[in-house]
Amino acid sequence: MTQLSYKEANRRYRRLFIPMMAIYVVLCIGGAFLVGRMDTPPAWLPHMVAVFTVLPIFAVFWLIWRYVQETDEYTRLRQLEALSIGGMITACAAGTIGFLQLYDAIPDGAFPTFLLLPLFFLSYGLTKWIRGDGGACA
Amino acid sequence: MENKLRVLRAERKWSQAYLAEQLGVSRQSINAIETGKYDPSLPLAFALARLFEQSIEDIFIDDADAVPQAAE
Repeated sequence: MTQLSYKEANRRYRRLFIPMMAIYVVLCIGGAFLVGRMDTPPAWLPHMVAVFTVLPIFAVFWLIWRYVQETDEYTRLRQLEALSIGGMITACAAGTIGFLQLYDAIPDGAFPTFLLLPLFFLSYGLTKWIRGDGGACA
Repeated sequence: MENKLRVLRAERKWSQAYLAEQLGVSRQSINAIETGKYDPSLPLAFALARLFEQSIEDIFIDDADAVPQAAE
C-alpha cells in the first residue's frame, strides 16, 4: 500500500475521476441515441453499448479503492465506513426487490437494475455527508 | 483518548490546516484527534511527537491514568 499525503491522494483521485464521469455521460447519451435511432440494431450493438457504458463506473470503483489506499488513515476510516454502509444499503435494496419479484409482488423489470449503481453512490455520498470528513470521493 | 494537541498547537500559533500540511493528513484528521473522536495510529502519534518535540506520553493521556484523576 502506497501512502501519500492527503492532498496528493486527492489530486490523483480528481485527475481521473472527472474524465471518467465525462466519458460516462457521453456514453450514456451517445449509446441511447445510437441504439434508439436504429430500427433493427445488430445483435452485438446493445451488448457493446451496455458494457462500454458501465466501464467508466468500474474505473471509478478502482479510483476509490486506490484513494482509500493512498489517503491518510482518518480519511481511510471514513471512506471505508461510507463504502460499507453504501454497499449494505444497495445489497438490502437489491435483495428486497429480488424477493418482491420472486413472489410476483412486483412484475419483473419493474425496477431497472442499473439504478442500483446510482443508489450505491447516493447512499455512499449521503453517509459521508452525514458522518463528515470523507475526503475527495463522491 | 484525551490529548494536549490543541494546547500544543495553540502555543505555537499553528492552525489545524498548517499542522495537517506538516503531517500530510487532512485538516479533519487533526480536528478529529483534538476532539478525541479519533485516536491516531502509532506512526502518526510518533510523527506528532517528533513535530512537537515531545514524547507521545506528553501529548496523549492514557485513559488508565485519567480514571483515578476523574474519581477524585
